[in-house]
Formats: sequence, structure tokens, C-alpha cells
Amino acid sequence: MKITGTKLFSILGLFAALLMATLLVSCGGSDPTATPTRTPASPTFTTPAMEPTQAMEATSTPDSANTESSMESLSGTIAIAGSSTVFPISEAMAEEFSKQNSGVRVNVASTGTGAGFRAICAGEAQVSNASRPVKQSELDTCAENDIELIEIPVAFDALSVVVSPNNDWAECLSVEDLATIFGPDSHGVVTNWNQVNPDFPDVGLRLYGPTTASGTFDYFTEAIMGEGGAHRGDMDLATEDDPLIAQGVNGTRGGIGYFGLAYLAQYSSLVNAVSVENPQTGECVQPSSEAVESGTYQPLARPIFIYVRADLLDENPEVEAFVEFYMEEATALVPEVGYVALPQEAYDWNLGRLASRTTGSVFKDVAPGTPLNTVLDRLQ
Amino acid sequence: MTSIPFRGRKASRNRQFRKATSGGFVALGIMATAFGVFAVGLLLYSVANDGIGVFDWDFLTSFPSRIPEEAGIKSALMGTLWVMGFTTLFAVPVGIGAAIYLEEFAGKNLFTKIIESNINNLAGVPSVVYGLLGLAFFVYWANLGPSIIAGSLTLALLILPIIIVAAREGLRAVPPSIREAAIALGATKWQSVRFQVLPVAMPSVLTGVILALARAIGETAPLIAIGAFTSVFFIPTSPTDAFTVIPIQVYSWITRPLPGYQEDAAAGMIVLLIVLLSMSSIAVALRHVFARRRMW
Repeated sequence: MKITGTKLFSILGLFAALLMATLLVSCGGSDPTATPTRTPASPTFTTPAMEPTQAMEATSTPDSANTESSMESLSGTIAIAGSSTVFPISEAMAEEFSKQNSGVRVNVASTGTGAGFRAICAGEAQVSNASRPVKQSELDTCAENDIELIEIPVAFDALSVVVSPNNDWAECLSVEDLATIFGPDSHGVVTNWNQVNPDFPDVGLRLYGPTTASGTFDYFTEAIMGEGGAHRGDMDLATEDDPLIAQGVNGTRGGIGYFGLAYLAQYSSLVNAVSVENPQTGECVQPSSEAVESGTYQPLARPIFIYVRADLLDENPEVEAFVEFYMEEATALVPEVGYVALPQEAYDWNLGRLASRTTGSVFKDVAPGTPLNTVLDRLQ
Repeated sequence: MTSIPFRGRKASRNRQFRKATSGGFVALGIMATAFGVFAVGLLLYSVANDGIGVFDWDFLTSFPSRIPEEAGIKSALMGTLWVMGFTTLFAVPVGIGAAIYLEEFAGKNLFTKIIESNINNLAGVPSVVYGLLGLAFFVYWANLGPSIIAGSLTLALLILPIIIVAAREGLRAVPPSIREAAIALGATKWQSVRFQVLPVAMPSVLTGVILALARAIGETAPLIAIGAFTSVFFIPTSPTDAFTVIPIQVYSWITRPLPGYQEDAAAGMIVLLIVLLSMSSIAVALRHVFARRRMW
């Protein structure tokens, strides 16, 4: 009895073949000649930026003229893994890099910072995303596998707290004040400004903010409440539509809200930014890109990173080209996805560290609250 | 004399009561069915309503994007087809093979009883548990990484119990007289299974297979557990490539703040439904082929 020719196997084979055929047909359908004719993104999304001139240039397609590397045809695989906070930046970079280098196969996984370091130290990823500096234990794991990392700060994650222009009392709020206003224990309890501080007038609190889906929410709760996700649930409006937060705060005298610092400039006619008291110095600091860069705007600003394997760069030019692209496009793309770009020098220093294969972490041993410009200077 | 009309009235009341009960049950049944149909209709309507504006050729041929209007399902659709192809390849032969062994060849002893009850229990294990198993076993131990092959093997494990249970039901429904007749005519055990039992059982086996694959195609949790929560900017060309699948892409879009992504997510669900319906129709066609071949 010849088994291979029997009907059962031909039927099973047919079933698998049909699936494969579907696969192949769809593969054929994915002809890259089909030109996308989508409408461009809404201006409210593409323009938020610290510096208006850069906002003008922050179009969805970066200028390909300034990336010499795209002239060579690169190939290979770049696997990026790690922090969900850095994910939107790296995803945007991967998207644009892939458009110019279709031979390079880029994927970005949102696995969390720790898992990102595990992946890169196990040789599974070429680049890792990190919302905090690498730990010594993680560097040790890498070293065991003869993997060395180059640390590359890519952006600031910074938030601004805003109140109505008619609010003449809340000029500076401490971390404790913010925790009283937005903390989980205040749910249904703290409903008036005079409960936050007896000096404040008898005005009802109206709360506006992002939804739990956003990194803004995660970072705000981490920085203010000390615990990710710890937040009261009785918000007057929780939305991912930043204009609505600004308009809501604008429309109510007792309104207070928060959103990414990158969007503040856009709504400065509607809302006033609140100074936040730096817990280390006791100083009230207005949010601004300068304050973020100088490290005085704490705790609502932190640098975020990518790490790249130094040992790969010589043999894998596509990895180096990707990081170079990252640095060249960061000023345009970082604000577009809602973060604060580093000063241009920092990106240049990063390029220098990449070129000289300078491994190890500058930020690892930096105490929280250290002025970030002094840390950035060390990148030189 | 008086008792007859009395009994009649009682009997008549009883009959009315029984008729009302029957009618009431029919009404309940119709309501239950209508509720199910309504829920499915509402789902289809809301998905179609949200997604149809985005669902076009560009959506099928674009990679993910930070701009919702430019985002597409290409890499996720390809990932789903790759993963489902390999899952089918792994799970269907092994599942049907195990069912044939357990139903036709294995003796009824304690050992097979333990295996049977384990398989039945495994069919109810939450899918994320299979994801953790896949992460430990395929991704790390076998060092496959978060690749198509690791994802397919994980999903194959997930649906194996479902296929085995369904295939055994199908085999059990074939009358023993068919097997006995085949063996009486000189067929070996294998020949009776291969040429008599399996072809007859095939329609119900295929129903089980398609239900299992329909479950696998919608799974998100086990694939996220093995590290496939990924934005992929290329089309996989080998089983060792990184991948993402439609449900993960949809989930990723749903969790994003920008409103345009909700429409992308709905359009992604339309694509998933189309793939699922195509798979089901292949199975339905195969069922008809097998059902026609039945000689008795």
C-alpha cells in the first residue's frame, strides 16, 4: 500500500496548499508599486515642537538629501526591543528608515526596558529602547556574552501642568500638591482648591488629563505618585485629544490638566503653565525646553535612551546607518511623536560616540535631579 | 355525571397550560437566537461602520505608521498568513494522528484514560499559559527567538487539544459495523481506518480543525507573551523572521491615543474577518467533497 499517494494525504496537502496559495497570492498583491495616496496627517499632530522653525520642517517625510547613507543599498536585519515609552520614537525612525532603505528589515518590539536589555544582551536585538539608564547588572550580563553597548540619549520625556488663565493662585505647585490633586486617595474626596492648600480660594477642582492608554499618564503617575498607574478615576475629562484638555482647562476657572511638554507652546493662548517645585532645590521652575535641558525641571522630565551593540557596527553598516539616521532626524521626529528633542549638540556628540565606538553608560551613576546639561556635557 | 365536565375543564386547563409553556419556550428560544444574531450584527455593523472608510488597497499594502492615515496592515496580514500556514502544518497532522491513535488503536487502560482526561483539560487552559510555555520552551530553550516558527509552534500546542477532541468525536460517530465489515472482508486495521472510517469522519474532523484554526487566528495573548508585540516594517520571507499578526496590530492600534487609529483597528478587524471567512469557506467546500463521497 502506497501511503504517500493516498487521498487522505492529498486532502491534507490540499488544505495546506490552499493556505499557502492564499499566502502567495497575497504576497503577490503586496506590490510596492502601489503608491500610497493617503491624506497627510492633521496639522495638530505634526506641528507640536519646542522651536517653531523646526516645527515647520517637521513634515512626515524627512528630507532624504541629508542622509548620505541611503545612497548605498543596505541590507540586513535590525531588531529593536524595549521600553514602550521610547517605542513611538523608534517606531517613527524605523518607519522612515525603512522607506529609504527597503533592503533593511526593521522591527520594533514594545517589551519594556528590562526585557529590551535582556534581548540585546542575549544577542537577539541589535538596538534596545530604554526609559532609564542601563544597570550595572545588565552591563555585566552583556559582558558575559561579549556584547558592549553604546548609550545614546534620544529625547526628553517631559510633562507640563496647566491651569486656566483666570486662575491667579496656583502659580507654583509642589509634588505633594499634585499628588493631592491627582492621587488615587483623592478620588471623590478632594474636590476643591482649598483642600489642596488652605490659602487657595473656594473654587471647585475640575480635572483634565490623558487616558490610561498613554505614556503621559504612566510617567505622570510614576513621577508624582511614585507608582505607575496610581491616579484618581473621577476626572472631569480624560482624553488623548490634547486640544480638548487645553480647551477644558481654559473654560473653567478651577480647571487643571497636564499633557506632554512638547504640546505646551501650541496652547499658550488658552492655558497657563504651572511652575513645579523642584523637590531637591525647593525652587519653582516654569516648564521650558531650557529648564528640561538644564535638569532643573524635576521631577516631570527625564532623558530616554536607545542602546546599540558596539560589536556589531563594523560588520553591520545598516545598524550604524540606522543610528546615524536616528540622530539626524531626531530634532524633527521626536517632537512629532510628543517628546522634547535634545539640544542639537547632544545628537552630534552621540554621533561622535558612535563613530569612536565609545561604550559604557554615562547616565548609569547619575543621581536623580543632577542638572542634565552637565550630564550631556560628559557625552562630548 | 358531574365528574366528566369537571375532568374536562381540568384537562382543558392543563392543556392550555401546557400549550402556553410550549409557546413560552419557543418564544424564549427565539429571543435567545435573536440576541445572538443581534450581537453579531451589531459587532459587524460597528466594525464595518468604523473601518470601511480606511479599508482600501493602500491599507492592505502599507506598513504600520505613526500617522494613522498612513498606517496599513501589510506586515501583520503577511504575518498572520505565515503563522496560520505553519500552525496548520504542525497541528492538523499531529492532532488527527493523535485522535486516530486514541480512538482506533489505543487500548482502554489507565494510561490512555490519563492521557484522555489531560487532553480534555488542556482544551480549557487559558491561552496565555501556552504563551509562557512557548516563551520558555521555543523562544529561549530551543533558541528560536520571537520568530514565526516559535509563534506557530505555540499556537499549534494551543489548538492541538481542540483538534484531538473534535476529531475523536467525529471518529466515534462512525458506526462500528463499518469497521467490522471492512475487517471481515480482509482489510487490515489501518486499511479500515484509512479507507472506511476516516473519509466518513472527515467532515466533522474538518469542522473541529476549522474551529481550532479560527481560535488560533484570533489569539493575541500567547503571541504577545513570546514577544511578538512588534511593529514590523518588512514582509517575512523565512520562518525564522520576526513577525506580528493582525490581532496584535489591532490591539496595538486600539491602545494608541490618536483617534485615527481606532478606525485602523476596525479596518484591521475587517481584514481578519475576511481571512477567517476564506479559511472557513475552504473547510466548508472540503466538507462537501467528503460528504458526497460517502457511499452509505
